Amino acid sequence: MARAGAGEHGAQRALLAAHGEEVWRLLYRVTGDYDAAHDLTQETFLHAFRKADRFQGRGGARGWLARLALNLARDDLRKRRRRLRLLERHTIEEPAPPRRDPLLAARVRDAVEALPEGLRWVVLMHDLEGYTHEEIGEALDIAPGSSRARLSRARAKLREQLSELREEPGND
Amino acid sequence: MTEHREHDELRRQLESYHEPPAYPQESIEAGVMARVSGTTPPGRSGLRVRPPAAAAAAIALFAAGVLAGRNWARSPSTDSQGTAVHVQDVTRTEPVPSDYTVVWF
Repeated sequence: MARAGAGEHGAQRALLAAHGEEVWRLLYRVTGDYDAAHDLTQETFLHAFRKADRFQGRGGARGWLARLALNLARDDLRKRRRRLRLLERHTIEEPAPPRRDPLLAARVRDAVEALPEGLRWVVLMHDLEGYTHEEIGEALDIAPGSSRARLSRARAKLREQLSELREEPGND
Repeated sequence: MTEHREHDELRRQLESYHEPPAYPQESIEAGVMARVSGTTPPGRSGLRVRPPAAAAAAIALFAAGVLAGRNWARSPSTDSQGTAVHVQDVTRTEPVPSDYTVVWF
């Protein structure tokens, strides 16, 4: 990390090769947008090279890169929501989608997006991308124990919502 | 259902949430290294530029050398292989801003 921060291209390439894909996957999971994930992955590494002296090793490189990535994603999502609100003001309102979407994927998406960000990111990182609680702690600036607690709450909420869906008529 | 099986079931359901497509490794690595080095990778004829906000459909292909401070390409244009290059913001003549994301192709 120090060598990458010092501008050694070999070390920078090695860091990209070792962690590029996992940063990309995480950013795609949280943004759901190819272009945003693409750009934010690049920005994450550029930030990492610039801020390498701040890397302290807690949660490892993986956790630290996730922290940079999620901070950038949070800013990006905020900007995109603002743009979306502006667009909505200037576009004709489309009819709302049917409340009962038959596609399970859409139901899962709704359930995940109903979670507060702090729970959503923990469950995506841990259950889908395989981050440890130590890495999540570093990424979200929380204690590993808090990460465990959040995961437990997130899973409980998701189970509740998804089991309600299974119990709805017509979803057997 | 046991707790372990419940976790597996939940994880399986969640997999569909923003499932990442294949990692665009070359594009991302080339883009990052182009940004840090400011040089054209060997064999590359152009680069992709996206504004920092990554606006939808804001894909612009430019002739090589933009990073070095050359001007935006004009549209319609061609790259060194003669492939048509579609350029947005063709009226702009200033160099690519430093906070733009660029990818060689």
